[in-house]
Amino acid sequence: METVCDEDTYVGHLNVGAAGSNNDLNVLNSSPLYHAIVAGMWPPRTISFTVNERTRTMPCYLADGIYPAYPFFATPYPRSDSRKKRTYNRLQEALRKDVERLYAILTSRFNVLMRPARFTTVEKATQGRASDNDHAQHHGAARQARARRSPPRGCRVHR
Amino acid sequence: MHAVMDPAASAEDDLDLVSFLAVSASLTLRREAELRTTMQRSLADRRTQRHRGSVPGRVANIERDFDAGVKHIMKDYFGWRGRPPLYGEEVFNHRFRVSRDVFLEMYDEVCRRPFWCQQVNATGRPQSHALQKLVGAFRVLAYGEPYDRADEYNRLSKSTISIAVDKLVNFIVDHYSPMYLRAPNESELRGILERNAARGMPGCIE
Repeated sequence: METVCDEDTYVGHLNVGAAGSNNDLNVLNSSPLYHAIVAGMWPPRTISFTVNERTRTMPCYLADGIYPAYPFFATPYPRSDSRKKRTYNRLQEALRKDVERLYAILTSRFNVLMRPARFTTVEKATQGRASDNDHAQHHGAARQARARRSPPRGCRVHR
Repeated sequence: MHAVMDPAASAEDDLDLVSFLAVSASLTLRREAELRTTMQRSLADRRTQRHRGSVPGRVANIERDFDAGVKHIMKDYFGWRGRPPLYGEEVFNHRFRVSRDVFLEMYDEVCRRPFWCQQVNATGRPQSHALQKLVGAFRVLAYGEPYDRADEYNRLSKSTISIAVDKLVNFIVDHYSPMYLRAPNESELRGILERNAARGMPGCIE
């Protein structure tokens, strides 16, 4: 299961259906999002941001150490032997925790995700629908929770 | 075949009638025998098939009293005969993992669709209600419970619940994922970047 979510655990991308025996790289290779990024279709390069007095246009996804060193992955330093690296790792992990939290929330909300999935048809195996469904339901709940929250924060767009 | 004999009829007529009856009886017998063999053959075929439908010698359907299931669900979660529901909003959210509004929104979408709507079977008996199937499917997703766990409450067989779960999952994916499971648009993306920059990771879209 590959997910991209924000700090409200609002899921923007989901890729499921990879067999459990696949390693992370094989899962990545089966991801439509990954292929869209490699092909240059996503993300839009019209938004720029400045880090350390350098303006960049390629935003990045936070990932853990197992992901390859691509410009669109911000992975933690494997050996954080300096203060700078440790600070970076701390901030990176703090934000990456959002998606780790998502897995706990989803499995506690929809217990069926804790059960082994049984694909009875090839179609189901390729679609991985149960998980898609739980995300969509999760969004129903997330949307409501967000609607109740007041005042709406910053420039958050309510969906 | 029940023939009414006329006492005033002549002997010739009697003879004609008897021979006619004999011929028709033999025809009927032969047709009956043919019918029986073809039926036996088709039943034998059907016994070897996977989806064989109703076949003599198999266990009959249990009369589950579907109405009782609907009544219990209505009493517990939606109110029955002017009385308020037994369980409040909090318990509802806990049991179904969605709020009552979201549940009812989904029910409205689903209740007229072919599998969900209440059907009448070949014997003229009404089948299970859409609400039952939806509740049963939600329980499976929320608690990860086996399909026949809530049989006594929902009054539905495990095969019905199994189909319901499948249909519900497909319905939700088709109906909600274009709206919710999508990439952020540009203004949303700006918002995400801004909030992550405030948290110390500029340029991160997670």
